[in-house]
Amino acid sequence: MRAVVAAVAVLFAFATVSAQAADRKVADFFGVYLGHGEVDATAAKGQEKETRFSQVVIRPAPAEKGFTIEWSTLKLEGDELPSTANTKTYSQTFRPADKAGLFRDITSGDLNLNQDTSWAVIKGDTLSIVQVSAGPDGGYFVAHYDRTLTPKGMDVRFTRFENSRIVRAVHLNLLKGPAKVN
Amino acid sequence: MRIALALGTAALLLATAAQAADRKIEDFVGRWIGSGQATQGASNSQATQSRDSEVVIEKVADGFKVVWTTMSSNVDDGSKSKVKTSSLTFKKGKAPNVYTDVKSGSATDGKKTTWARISGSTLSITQLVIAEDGQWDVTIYDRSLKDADHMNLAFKRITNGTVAREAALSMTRAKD
Repeated sequence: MRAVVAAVAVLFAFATVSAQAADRKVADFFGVYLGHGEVDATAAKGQEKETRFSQVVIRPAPAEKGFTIEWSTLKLEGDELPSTANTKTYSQTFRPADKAGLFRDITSGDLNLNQDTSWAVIKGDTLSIVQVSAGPDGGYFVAHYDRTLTPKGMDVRFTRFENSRIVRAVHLNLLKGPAKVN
Repeated sequence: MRIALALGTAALLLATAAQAADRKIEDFVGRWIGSGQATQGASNSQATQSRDSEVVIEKVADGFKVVWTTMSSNVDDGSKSKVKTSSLTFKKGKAPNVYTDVKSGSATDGKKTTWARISGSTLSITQLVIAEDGQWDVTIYDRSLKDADHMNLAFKRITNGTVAREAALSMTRAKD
């Protein structure tokens, strides 16, 4: 009896570890998320406190068998509400690449031809999206977004590098809303 | 007096223009030797390696070639050293002072994308590599001329959005 209990316990432990290690499916990220966060102090040396409100919508893109992500950001400098909203909205659509959990932006091109390159990858609970852009003068930027599912929504970490320097790092906590996107 | 003032202003303007102008690849050509230290992780972390390096930059038909050899030694244990030699050849790009590695390919097709540019006194070489599983590395070598015979090298590797390693070396032109 003791051996059976031990065997079941071991199997349960393996199953738990395996479930934790498994990568999420992109459908797990579908939804509407809303929340706010602040610019990382280390990346904002000498700058006034900057708060960001953000909405993220991730929905299926059936024509591409992939997904579309739209995100809007409202910047708030200091503690005062701005007289005009400094809002920006972006959108990207991805199609699956030849490896599970890997996607490529449908407009992604060849950096050698100064075309923007972007891809997405799911690892564990995190959907990472990377954008790389190189200008004709050889200058470039890399934007890296890690969107990690949490019990209540999504944790977003954004880092932007310009010519090897971190120029912006932002951490946001978003809650998932009830809206359906499927 | 006015003439002296005008001449002074003209000289200042010329000096400013000269400083602002980008260097040419010829300014970097030569053999450079130097040393420095590397850190792992965030930029304020402690040095983990000492580095000795030789860099040879030479002109080729339509661009330049850079060959560098680096000996990396653990700070705690000098006996743990490794030596690595790398080489890249660049051809002129479409814009002035921009070059593309002759072997550069599309990163999203699993190839290394490598380019170089000169901005001010700095020759920057940047390489993007995307692994099969989507993980990525950007490696940057910024070689900045302090004067005709002295150069600073700032190396940085960014992995999946985080600074994974940095190194700073001071190099001197070798007089052969």
